[in-house]
Amino acid sequence: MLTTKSIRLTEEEVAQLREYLEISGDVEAVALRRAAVRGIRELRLAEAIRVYLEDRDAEYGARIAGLPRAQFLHVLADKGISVLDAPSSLATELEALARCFGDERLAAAAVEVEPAGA
Amino acid sequence: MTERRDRIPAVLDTSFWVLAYRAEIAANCLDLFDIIVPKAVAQEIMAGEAGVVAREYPYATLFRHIQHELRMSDVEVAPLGIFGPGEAEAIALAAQLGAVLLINERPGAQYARNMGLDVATVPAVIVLLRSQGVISDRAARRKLGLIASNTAPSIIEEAFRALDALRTDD
Repeated sequence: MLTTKSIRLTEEEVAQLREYLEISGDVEAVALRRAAVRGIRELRLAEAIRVYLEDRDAEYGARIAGLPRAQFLHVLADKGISVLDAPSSLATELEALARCFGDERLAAAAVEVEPAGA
Repeated sequence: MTERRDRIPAVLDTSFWVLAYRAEIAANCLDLFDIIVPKAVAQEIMAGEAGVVAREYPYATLFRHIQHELRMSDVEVAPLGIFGPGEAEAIALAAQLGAVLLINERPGAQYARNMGLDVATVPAVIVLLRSQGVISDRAARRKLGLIASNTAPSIIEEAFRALDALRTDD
């Protein structure tokens, strides 16, 4: 079921719409609907990214964006946003992996990674 | 056919898969890990956007193609009361199985480490793949470059230092 919503446009905005319709050959109602749907998605995503940058909660960000978590992480990565933040735990991870795999070279490398004074 | 080395059980989180795909190590991980996929994680990876004509993202396509090499979890665990469904099930499952947790987001990784779990992020696994001889030093550096914009600079710098240490050991 579709619901009707009305919006008010300035003369300039109407002129822009008319120009687009002449170029594309689209029906006005179809173009307006597509623009609204696309615009809402962009607004949701922008808000989701803003919230993610503050809270670092991909699950919540994904809900705001209306995307599955994996897609939201993919979009963040595409936009060059960091999804793995400091402080680093790399040395601890490498030590654990070295132990799991019996990898002495990796254990030695993990020591090199330890921040000075750690 | 190359004989497969002994692999370590590891539970997958969505964040690891998406970034491992980007670093081009998702398939390499199968050489080292017996990857167990929680149900909620599989759902998150394969989920489509509501109301949008089916469009499969490339990380989901790879997951679908190599799904037969992954172990879908049939273990029932009570997910944690925090985090989203995938992350909550992945951490709980790794704890129950005593497996490594493959995850690439700091809050979940930190929480799991505080529970005493062994945790591995994508940069750490790139260094491991190099150390285990699965990939070359050059490939490891290139793969770190692929995720440099999605990873804190200090972590990337440390990973390069680890690769330097492995190189001097060659």
